[in-house]
Amino acid sequence: MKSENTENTGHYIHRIKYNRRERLVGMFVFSALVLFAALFFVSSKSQHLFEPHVRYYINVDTSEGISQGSSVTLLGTEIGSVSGVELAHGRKIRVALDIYKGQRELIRTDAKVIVNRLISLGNALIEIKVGSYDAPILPEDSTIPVEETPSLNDLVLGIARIVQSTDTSVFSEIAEMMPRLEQTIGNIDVIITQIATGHGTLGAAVFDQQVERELKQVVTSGAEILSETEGVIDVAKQRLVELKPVITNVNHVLNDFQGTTGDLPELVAELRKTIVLTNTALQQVNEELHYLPGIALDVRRTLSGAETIVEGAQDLWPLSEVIQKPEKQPLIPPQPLHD
Amino acid sequence: MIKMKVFLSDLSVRGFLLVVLMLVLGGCSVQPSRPIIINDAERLSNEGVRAFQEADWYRAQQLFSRSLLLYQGTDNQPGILRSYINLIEVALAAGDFQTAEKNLMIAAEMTRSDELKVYQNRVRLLFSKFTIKTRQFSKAQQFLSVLLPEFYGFETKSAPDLIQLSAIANRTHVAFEQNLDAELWAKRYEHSLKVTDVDTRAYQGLLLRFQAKLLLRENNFQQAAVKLQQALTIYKASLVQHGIAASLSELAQLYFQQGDWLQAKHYLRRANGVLRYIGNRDKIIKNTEKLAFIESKLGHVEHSRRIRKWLVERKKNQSKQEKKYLPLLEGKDYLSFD
Repeated sequence: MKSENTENTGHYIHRIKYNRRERLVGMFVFSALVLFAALFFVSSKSQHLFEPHVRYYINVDTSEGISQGSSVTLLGTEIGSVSGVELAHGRKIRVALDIYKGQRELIRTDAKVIVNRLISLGNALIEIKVGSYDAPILPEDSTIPVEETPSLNDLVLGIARIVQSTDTSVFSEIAEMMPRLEQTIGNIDVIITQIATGHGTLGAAVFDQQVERELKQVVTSGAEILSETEGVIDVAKQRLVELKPVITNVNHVLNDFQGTTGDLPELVAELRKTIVLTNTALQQVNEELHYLPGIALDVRRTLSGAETIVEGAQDLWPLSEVIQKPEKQPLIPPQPLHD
Repeated sequence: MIKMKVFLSDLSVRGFLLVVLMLVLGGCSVQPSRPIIINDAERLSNEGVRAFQEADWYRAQQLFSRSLLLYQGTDNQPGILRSYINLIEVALAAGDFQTAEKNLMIAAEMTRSDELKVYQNRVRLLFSKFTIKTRQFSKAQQFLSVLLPEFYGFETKSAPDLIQLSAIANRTHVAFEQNLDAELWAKRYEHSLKVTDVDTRAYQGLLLRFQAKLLLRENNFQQAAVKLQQALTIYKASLVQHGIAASLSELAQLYFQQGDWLQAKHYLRRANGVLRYIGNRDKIIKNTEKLAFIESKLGHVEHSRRIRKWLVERKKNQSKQEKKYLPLLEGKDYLSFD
């Protein structure tokens, strides 16, 4: 038998009747739904969900970065969105712009649309340039003249082509100048390939300090060989000058060598820069890989959180009536010994 | 137009209120289709599985024990057996072999009934893990022989399932421990991974460690280190903490064998960090013994002496039956000598 004193202790929820508890829960549910409805109304207003609009058209060369729902801006403010994209005559794309009726008076007959694809990769900014306020308002369903910028992709491709052609010419010069230099570059290439493939796994190979050390050693020794070669060629040059009266034809060869050795310090400096850049890249990848366990743990926690929410939602009416929950068998999956 | 707008918005409000009313009334009339106690038991088990995956043995043990009580309360035999299996996994992970053995006996007895025969192989796999961990390798072979698929050289007749794959991995462990046909089993394991349909990311880490062990036998330290680094990366990506700790310990051992004390010390410290998290005190003690040796080799006599003193204290406490399950990141300071 419980004493009266015992019954008066503990949380107040245990002292109220079941019926009142249900009402309390209902009140919470009700207030949450009212809040949800209020938020819906506020957001529908801010997103112009029910606002009437006026349609205009633009004809562009490509629809890259433009899709249904892309926003249309004027003086940096959103005044509408793209409602449709379709093929038009004359190898053009016809884009329908829905402008909020309240902003219509800003668009005059001399207005111009700029499709800017340099803002971000894969997205275009459609901006309407305000015309003169003296001009009449542009009638509905009119086509606005348009100016298009090239996309970031086009620009990057162009730059890549330039860089590629430059690189090829530089390497061809190096190859002509010094066969040993070519061999050294070949060695670096082999080691970089080793790092990239890592015998099957990139991450572990990058982790491998030994490969990193090898790379440094080979490139540094390559640089040393080049410096030594420079010294040797200088000595050879002196000898050839001494032998000038005897072998006059060798003079031409000597001149060629002089031209070649002049470029050597620059090449050595370039190689050193490459070593520094490779080192930095390796360190960055290394750091990123250190975060892997943390990221995996976060993802696992987020997923399990999401699972709990979904499970909870499935228990609620009306989903609980519709979704037949399968019988779960919560069991740790079988796994071998890892330790 | 304005009147129309007002009418529409008024209509929306009324519509929403109607929906809200329907939801509230409908919610009150819902009757649960399954007993709440079973839902609770499943929820606890699910949380337990998550805690296990996060290496929180203490929480996992608590949750599975509570789930077991609920299943026992409704005499739900499959639920009871699953709770025991989960508790055995936790006990093995936490190094509580006494509890693991006790629960294994109960689970084995339960799987005799026709209803629960489907769990027999799972229990055999657990027995194999238990016997390997307690170094009873011939017994482990007996349990595994029932689970292993038929081999034709390196190849199997059909693609192995998850339990068979785990059995092959455990058999390879035994082969390495007994130093008998290790290369053959490593190749069989490698081939099984190629043909299986299951997700084998974490299993790949184990394969790389086996390959590293074979390379170490040929004194190919450089290639063995590469394999271990790859295994470490895979384990990190899959967050298999036992595997991370084992890879780090094996890297430390590799440098230890070469007399590269600084590298060995570096990896031992990292391994101990992970082992402290998962509460594997036996491995920590083994690693710390090596650390004491390395410190003396490096000329840090005072530090080495301090570590040895710490080891003596820990070994004393170990004999006093320390708690096997510790709350995550709590009370584990005593596992560190720093």
